[in-house]
Amino acid sequence: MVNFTVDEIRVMMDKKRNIRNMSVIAHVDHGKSTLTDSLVSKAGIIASAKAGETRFTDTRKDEQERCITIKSTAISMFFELEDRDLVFITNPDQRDKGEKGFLINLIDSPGHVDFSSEVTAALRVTDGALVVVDCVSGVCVQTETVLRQAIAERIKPVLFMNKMDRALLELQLESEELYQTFQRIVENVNVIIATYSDDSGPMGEVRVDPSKGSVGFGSGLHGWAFTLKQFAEMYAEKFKIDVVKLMKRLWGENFFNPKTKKWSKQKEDDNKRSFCMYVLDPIYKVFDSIMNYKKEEAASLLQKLNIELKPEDRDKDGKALLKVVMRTWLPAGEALLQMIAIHLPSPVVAQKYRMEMLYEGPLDDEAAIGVKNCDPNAPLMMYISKMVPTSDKGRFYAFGRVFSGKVATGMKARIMGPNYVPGKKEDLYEKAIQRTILMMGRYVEAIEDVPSGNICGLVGVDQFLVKTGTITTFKDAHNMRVMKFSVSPVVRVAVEPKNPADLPKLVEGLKRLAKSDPMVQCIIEESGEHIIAGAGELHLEICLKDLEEDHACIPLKKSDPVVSYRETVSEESDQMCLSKSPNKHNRLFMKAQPMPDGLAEDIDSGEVNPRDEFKARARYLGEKYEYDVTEARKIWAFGPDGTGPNLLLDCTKGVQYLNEIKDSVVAGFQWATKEGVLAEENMRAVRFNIYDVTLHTDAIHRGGGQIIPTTRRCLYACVLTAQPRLMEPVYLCEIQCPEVAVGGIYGVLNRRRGHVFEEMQVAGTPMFVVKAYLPVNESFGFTADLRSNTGGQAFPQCVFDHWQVLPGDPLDSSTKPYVVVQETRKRKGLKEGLPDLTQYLDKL
Amino acid sequence: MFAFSSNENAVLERKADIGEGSRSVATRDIDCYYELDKCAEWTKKNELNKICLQFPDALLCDSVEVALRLGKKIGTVPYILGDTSYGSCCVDEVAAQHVNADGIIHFGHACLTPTNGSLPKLYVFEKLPVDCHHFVSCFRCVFTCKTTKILLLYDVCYQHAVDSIIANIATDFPNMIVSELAITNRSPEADEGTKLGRHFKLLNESRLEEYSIVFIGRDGPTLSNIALTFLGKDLYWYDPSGTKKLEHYNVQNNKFLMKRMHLIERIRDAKTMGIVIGTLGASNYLGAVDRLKELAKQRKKKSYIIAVGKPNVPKLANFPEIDIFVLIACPENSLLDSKGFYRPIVTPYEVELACNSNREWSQGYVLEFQHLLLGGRHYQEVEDNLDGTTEDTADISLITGQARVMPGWDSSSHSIPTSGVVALKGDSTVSTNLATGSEFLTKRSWQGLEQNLGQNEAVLASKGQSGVPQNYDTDLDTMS
Repeated sequence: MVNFTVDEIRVMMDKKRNIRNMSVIAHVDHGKSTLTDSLVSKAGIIASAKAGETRFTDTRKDEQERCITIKSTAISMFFELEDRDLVFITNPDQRDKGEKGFLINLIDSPGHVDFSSEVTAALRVTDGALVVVDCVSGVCVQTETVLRQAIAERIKPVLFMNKMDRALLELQLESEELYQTFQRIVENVNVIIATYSDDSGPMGEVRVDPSKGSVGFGSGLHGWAFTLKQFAEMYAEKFKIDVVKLMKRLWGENFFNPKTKKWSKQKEDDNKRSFCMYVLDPIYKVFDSIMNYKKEEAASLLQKLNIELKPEDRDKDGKALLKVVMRTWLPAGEALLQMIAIHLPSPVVAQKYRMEMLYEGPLDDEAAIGVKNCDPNAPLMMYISKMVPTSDKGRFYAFGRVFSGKVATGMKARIMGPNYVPGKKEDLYEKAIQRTILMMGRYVEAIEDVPSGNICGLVGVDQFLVKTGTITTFKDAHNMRVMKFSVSPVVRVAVEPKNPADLPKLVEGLKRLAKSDPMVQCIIEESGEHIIAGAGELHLEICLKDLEEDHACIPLKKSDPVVSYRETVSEESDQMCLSKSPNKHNRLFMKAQPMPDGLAEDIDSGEVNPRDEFKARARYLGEKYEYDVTEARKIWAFGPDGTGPNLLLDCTKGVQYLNEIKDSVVAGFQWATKEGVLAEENMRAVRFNIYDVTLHTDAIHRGGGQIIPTTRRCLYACVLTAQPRLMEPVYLCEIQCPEVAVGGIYGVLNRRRGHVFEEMQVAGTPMFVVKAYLPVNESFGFTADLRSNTGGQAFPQCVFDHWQVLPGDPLDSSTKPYVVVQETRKRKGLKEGLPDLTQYLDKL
Repeated sequence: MFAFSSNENAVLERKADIGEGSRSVATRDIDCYYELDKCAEWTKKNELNKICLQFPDALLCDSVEVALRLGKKIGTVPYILGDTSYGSCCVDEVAAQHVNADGIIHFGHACLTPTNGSLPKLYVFEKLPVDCHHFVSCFRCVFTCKTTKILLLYDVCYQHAVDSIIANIATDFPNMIVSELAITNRSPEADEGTKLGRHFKLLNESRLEEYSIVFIGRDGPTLSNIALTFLGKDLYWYDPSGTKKLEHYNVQNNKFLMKRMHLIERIRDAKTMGIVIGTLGASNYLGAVDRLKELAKQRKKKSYIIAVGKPNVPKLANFPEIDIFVLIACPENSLLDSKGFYRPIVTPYEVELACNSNREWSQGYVLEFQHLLLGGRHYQEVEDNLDGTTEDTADISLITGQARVMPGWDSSSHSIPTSGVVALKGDSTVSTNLATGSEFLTKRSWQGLEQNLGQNEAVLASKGQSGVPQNYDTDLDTMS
C-alpha cells in the first residue's frame, strides 16, 4: 500500500502522461477481483487517514457472500518504474520527462453478463483494459463480448493468463501442453481483436504479444505473475543478449540446444522450446520440489533464484510455502504494474484517437480539440458514466472522466443529459458543482480540482442526470456520445408495497434504483403496475434486493418475472381500412403491412432514423429493402416515441389540406404504436400506408379532436386485418460444459422451446460450447434447471438477441399467443376478450 | 337563415343515452313518488313564484306529468330542466338562472355537493324498496358484538327506509352512528363531520379508523367513492336491489392508488395543464380554478382553462399541446376513467399531491375539491421558501425514465421567461424554462397557411359553401 496525502495525489494528476486509466474485464469467475486485490495490496493508494483498513474492491456485502462482482469499483494506485524499465517507454507522450511514478486508476468490473452494463460504463472512462482469461477454461463467451466492446470503444487491451496454479497442480499439464494452451488463448484473443480492429487503425498495434511483454502469466490467487520481460531480465546477463531481443526468443518457435548452445527455429531431437526451458521449467521445478516436500532441492533452488524468505515463512511447507516462494520470486504486482505502465496508453495518447468516437459535435470545435489534446486549460468536458450511491440516502456521486479542462469544487458548469440538443433547452441545467471528490474503493476524499485525463466523482449534479451525461463549461458543446449497452432490459417484475401507505416510499425507491444501476428501467405503467426491467433474472434479483433493503426500505410484493411482447402483422391488410371521424366528416383510408426482415433492426440500431436526410434514407430503403423510392421519401413518422421501429408513410396523391392534419395523424400514430390493439404492447415492424384522406373543408372540423382518435382507430383496424402476431424477445444463450453434460443441455433446451444452432469443442480443452436461441419467457429458472440436469456442470450466459414471432394467431382462442394476449390484458386491467374490428372499422 | 347559429332542430333530434335505469312510474303513483305535496308545501313556504324542476335523463319521461300536476297545486307551471350540462346529480343553478327562477327542485339521484348560489333548492330522491327486516337480520348476523363502532351510510334512494331500520337496531348497538344527508346548504368548511354530502358525528375521542362502515346502496360511483374516502376498519355493503347480502366489500384501493400514482407522475411530467371546468354549480369552483392555476404557475407549468361541457375524447383531443387535464367536478364525476382519452384526466387532489411538496401522501382520497382550498379541512399551504434560495430540484420521471426539473417555489417572480434565452436566476442557478405553448407550435410541421408562390396554379375565385359547418348546403355526406 502506498501512503499518500490528497495533495500528493493531486500533484500526480497533473502529470497526464503518467496516468493510466484501465479496467479489468473478463468472463465471470476468471478471477478479476482476486487479481485486482493483489495489485491493490502492492500499490493501492490509501489516503493517510485511512491507512490500515483493507478490502478495497468488495464494497457490498452480497458481493462477498456470492463471490461475484455486481458493481464496478474504481481504485487508484501509484507505482514507480525503475530506470532500467523506463527505456521500454518510447513514446514521449507516455511519460513526463523526469517522472518515474505512475498514477493508475483501475476499475474492477463484473463478469456476469447480466451486469455487463457496468462493464460498458467502466470501459468508457478508461483507455486500457486488462483482459483476464482463466488458462484452464480459455476464452469464454463473456471474454469475447467485453473484448469486442473494448475494441469498439478504442480501448487497448493487455492479456493476463490467470489460474496457472490450477493448470500445474490440478491438471498437471506438461510444459509443452501448457505452452500450446497459452498460445491458443493468445491466438483466440488476437482473432477477436482482429475482427473488430486492425493494426493499421488509429490505435496502432492492438494485438497482444507475449514476446513484447503485453501478455502476463500467473496466479492471482497465489499472488504471483510474470511477463517475458521478467525472465528475459534474469537471463539477459547470462546470455549477454539485450532484454528486448531475448524476450522475442523466449516465445514462439524458438528452440535452444543446451549442448550445442545453439538457437534454432525448428524442433529437433535434442533441443527444447525456449519458453518451456527457461520460463516454465524453473516454475515447474519450484512447484515440484515444494509440493513433493523435497526440502533440500527446494532450498538450493531458492538460493539459485535469490529468494530470501522472511523468518516467519521459513517453517511453512506445501501450498503455503509455495505461495510465499512464488510471491517473493515473481511478485504479481510488480509484473502487472510494469505491463500496465508500459503497454497501456496514457490519456494523452488515447484521447487523440478516441475523441472522434467520444464526441458528437464537430471535430474541430474547442471541446473537440480540448479532448483530443487532453488539455487541462481547454474548456471542461467530462463524461458521467454512472451514479454511485452515497451514505446520504437518495443522493449519488456522479462518477466519470474528465476528458478536457479541469473540474473544480464550486465551479459553475452545464449539465447535459442524453437528450440535450445543442441550442435547445431540454435536458440542460446550469449548476454549481458542490464538491469534487476522489473515489478510491468505498472511500471518498474531497479534492479541490481534477484536471483532464483523470477519473473522479462529483457531488451535487446527481439530481439533474438520470444515469449518464456530459458536464462542460463550453457553451456550444455537444454531448459526449451515449454508451451502447450489449444487453437490454427485457425481463420485468412488477412490485407493490405490502402496505398501500408505503406507496410514496416505493416510488421514491424506484427513482433511486433507476439511478444506481446503469441499465435498469423503472416505470409506472398506465395500468398502475410499478415495473422494474432488467437484463436477466440475476440482475433483477439484485435490483429487487437493493430496492427492498436500501432504496425503499419497505416490505414488497413481487410478481413473477414476465417479458414484454411486441405486436406486429404478418401480411398486408386484406382490405382498405376506413375510419370516420366522430363528426363523420373526415375519412382515413389506410393499410398495414409487415416490414421486410432487418428493417426494424436497422431502425433499432439507428442505421435508419428520423434525423436522416430524407432523400438519402429513401435511396437506402429502396436499395436494401426494395421500397418504392417516391413513397419512401414521404415517411411521416417513426413510432412509438418518434424513433421506434414502425413507419407511417404517406402514399396519397393530391389530397387537399393533408399537411394540415399531418401533426394530428402522427400523434395518433405515436399513440397507437405505443399501445397496440391486441394487448397494449408496443408495435414493432409494422409499416402503415395512408392511401386516401377526405377532409372537411373547415379547419375546425378537421382538428386534432377529430383526427387523432380516428387515426388510432384506423391503425387498429389495419392491424386487425393484417394477420396480427405477437413477437417475443429471444436470448442468445451460450453454455459451457464438459462433453458428458451436452445431452442434458439439449433436453432442457427442448422443453423450453430453445434450439441449438452451434455446438463445438473448445480447442485444447475437454469443454464444449453450445449456442442456442432461447425465448426469454422460457428462461426463468433456466440456470437452475440446467445445473440440476447436468450435475452442476453447465453454466449458461444469456443475452438478449432479437425479437421473434410467436407462432400462432392471437385472434384464435386455441393458440398460445391468444393465451399470452389474455394474460397480458388481465394483468393490465383491460377488458378481457378480443378487440372487436367493428369498433375500429367504418363502412362507407 | 342559420348563417350564424346552429340548427336548433339538431338539439331536438339528439338522442339521450339513458341506459338501464329507465322506467316509467305509473301515473297514479306520481304524486307519491315525486312527493308533490311536499314540493308544493316547500314552494309555498318559501314564497317562490318561478321554480324549476330538474330531472335526470332517466326520469325525463315523467317530467311533463310532474310539472302539470305540481303546477295545479301551486298555481304556476314550473319550468323543466333536462340535459344537464355536467352531471345530473348536481343541482343545475346556472340553467335555473336562465329563466330567472327563484327556486329549484332536484329529482332523482344526487351527489349532494354544496352549491355556489343561494337559490333555494329541494331534493326529491327516488325511493327504491328495501327489505328492512332482511337487512336487520343480516346486520345482527354480521355484528355479533354489540359494542362495535359502526357508521351507517346509505344511498340517497334509501333514505325513506332509514328511520325504520334504525328503530330496529339502534337500541342494541349503542356505538352505531347513522349519517344524515347534507341536503341543506351548510357551509362545508365549517362542518367537521361532512364527507361526500353525509353528516355524521363520531363518538367522543374516537377516530374513523376504529369504525366499521356499513353502506346500503347499489354498486356505483357512490360506493367506490365511499371506499376511497371513508377509511374505516372495514367496509360492509348491502345491496337491497341486488345480492341482498351484507357483505364485506373488498376494497381494491392498492390497485387503484397505484394506477393513480401513474397519473401523479404524469402530472409532474406535464408542461401544460388544462383545467377543465366540470361544474358551474359546485360551491367555490372558481377558487379551485385559482388554486390550480397557482400550483401550475409555481411549478412553471402553463395552464389553460377549458370549458367544454361534458368532456369527451374528441373535445379534449382538440388540445394536443396540453399534456394533462384536471377536471373540476363533483365527487361522483371526478374520477373519470381516462382510458381512451388522448391525454389523461386527473383530479385536483392529485395535482396537489404532485405539485405541493407540503402535502403528504395519505391513503384517504379527497374528492371534494372544496376541502383542498383555503379554509377547507385538507388545505395545505404551498411551501414558502423563507431563506430566499430558489433551488430547483430535479428527479427522475418514472414515465419516461428521464430527468425532469421541479422548479423551486419562486415567490419573487412568478413570470415564466418567454424568450428562448437562458435567464440568470439567483447566484448560481439558471432557469431554462420555455413558454411551452410556443415551443409546441415550433415543433409542428404545419405552421399555418403556406403561400407556395408559383407552385399553385392561379384560378378564379369560386363560390364556396354557406351555412354553419354542422349542416352546409353542400355537405360532404350529401355527396356520397
